[in-house]
Amino acid sequence: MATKDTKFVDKKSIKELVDILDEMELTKLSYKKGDISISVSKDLTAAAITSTNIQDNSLSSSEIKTDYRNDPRVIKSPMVGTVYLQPEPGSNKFVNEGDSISTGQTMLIIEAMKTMNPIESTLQGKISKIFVQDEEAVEFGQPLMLID
Amino acid sequence: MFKKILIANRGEIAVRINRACQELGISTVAVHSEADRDSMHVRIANESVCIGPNQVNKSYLNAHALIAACEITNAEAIHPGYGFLSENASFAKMVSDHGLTFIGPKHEHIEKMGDKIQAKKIMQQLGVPTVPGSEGKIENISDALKIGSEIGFPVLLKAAAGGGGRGMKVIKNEKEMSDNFSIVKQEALSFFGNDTVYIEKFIDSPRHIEVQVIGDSHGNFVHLYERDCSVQRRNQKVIEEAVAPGIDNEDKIKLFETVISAIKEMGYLGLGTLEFLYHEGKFYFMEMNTRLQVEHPITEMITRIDLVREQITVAAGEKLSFDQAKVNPLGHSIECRINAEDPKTFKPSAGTINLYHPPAGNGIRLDTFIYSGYKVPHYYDNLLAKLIVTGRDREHAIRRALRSLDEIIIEGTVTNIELHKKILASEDFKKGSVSIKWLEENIEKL
Repeated sequence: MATKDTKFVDKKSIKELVDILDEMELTKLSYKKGDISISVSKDLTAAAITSTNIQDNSLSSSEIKTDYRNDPRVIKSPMVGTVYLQPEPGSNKFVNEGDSISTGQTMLIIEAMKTMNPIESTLQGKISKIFVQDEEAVEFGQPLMLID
Repeated sequence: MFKKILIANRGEIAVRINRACQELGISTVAVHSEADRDSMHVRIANESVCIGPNQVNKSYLNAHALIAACEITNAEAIHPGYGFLSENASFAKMVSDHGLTFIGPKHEHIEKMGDKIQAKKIMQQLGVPTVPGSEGKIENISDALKIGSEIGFPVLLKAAAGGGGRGMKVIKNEKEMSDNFSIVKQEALSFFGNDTVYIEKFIDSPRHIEVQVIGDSHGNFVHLYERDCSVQRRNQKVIEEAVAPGIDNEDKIKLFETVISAIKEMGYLGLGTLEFLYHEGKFYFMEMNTRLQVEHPITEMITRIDLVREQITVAAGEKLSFDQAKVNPLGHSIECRINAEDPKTFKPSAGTINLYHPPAGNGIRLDTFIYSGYKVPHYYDNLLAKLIVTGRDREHAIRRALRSLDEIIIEGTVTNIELHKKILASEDFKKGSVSIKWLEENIEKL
């Protein structure tokens, strides 16, 4: 019985809690209803430590980006390389903040070893934040976009 | 000289290479997997790039990610350390094809020495003593039987693509050869993707003696004496020492001369180690490692030469900073590989290091990447630290090693420190000249 129940993860409630967490700038939030309890938290200590370690590191993500590393709404970079937000210089960006994006849609290009790799969205929804700039160097796992 | 080097490794060796770079005034880029975000090599480098998830094939073995990391950081050279991609010829070629420098030998040499049959043939032609055996690969069982009786049983049936002690079997007689020939071929195919096998005379209970060499691109080739790495378990070195005890000096000088003429003939660049079996006064070439060795510090301690520094400078096209006449070994140095493993069951142990306190004092060097609070990930090698002790002679070095092992504190993860103490305190080890089988045969009695 109990094992069956765990399969039904209430994504909506979790998402709502995460939103509240962000809105209220909290670090931890627990919610209990009947047998189900959900706890969401942001690991600010880890973020703070990482950011002090890499102060002089032009490549590493800023504190804000580190916050989002474990956020399920974030699409992270699948490779090391240089980001291009448009197909070619002078043309329109693939996507902008506020746009709707669907799964499989190209969101940006990452150049690695002289090869252009189109990066497709793995999520569907509204782009609420684009973390990277055009021609920015990114590392593996670096947050690219936040999809709500 | 390079302005910026990317260190394509982790753990103690990435820390070691970072030190040499800092002392040369070279800026460093550390690469790491997601699991290694808090690792020491990332903390001490000037820059860092996460190159992939925890699995090594997606991070530290990911050639494309490493090149891309060089591109975005403008690193000019890659130091591969040991293991991972350090002896991968196609990676070395890929690095130079991208206009970067691979800090190591020419990729042709890595490729030639990587094939055990070819390496042996080349060394034989260059006059280096090798183990008697088949000239090349053995096609069928009748050839195997013929060569077996020619060189005399017992023989070793080996996979050409094997290494690290895997893919070989001792064959005692003709019947065993008939029984095992196709099995070994099949194993070679499934382990290494290549079923080529060859035969060598089986040398019972030899010692493992290796010679350190380095060459530059200005025609200078020197040796830095030998190391004895006979204390092994399952073909993994446990304790190494320099120089090797109880070997006739004239035999050694003869061997060094042959080795130098061989690498000169090859036009070898950078650091290399020729590994030999030593038995009853004779050396037999086994293989050449075309990279920096784990146990390089003991050679550094007795010669007072920074091998990693020289490796970097010769890769940049500079001359070696010393010549053969300047290599004068002084004292005796011993290295203990401190692994996160149970000293009895050898089960690897991951976990958080609650407390770490290194030994110190005269003649002590500890190459490590651990710190108090460090969480040892279970994805990688279990080498935590290398304790390198140097004394005025062998006896002094052993006593110094024992007192250092009493001083060191590593809490939170199980280590093989107790095993090291038992080995160093044993009468056999004190006498010197143990064989590569000694530890396994005596481990229960220690």
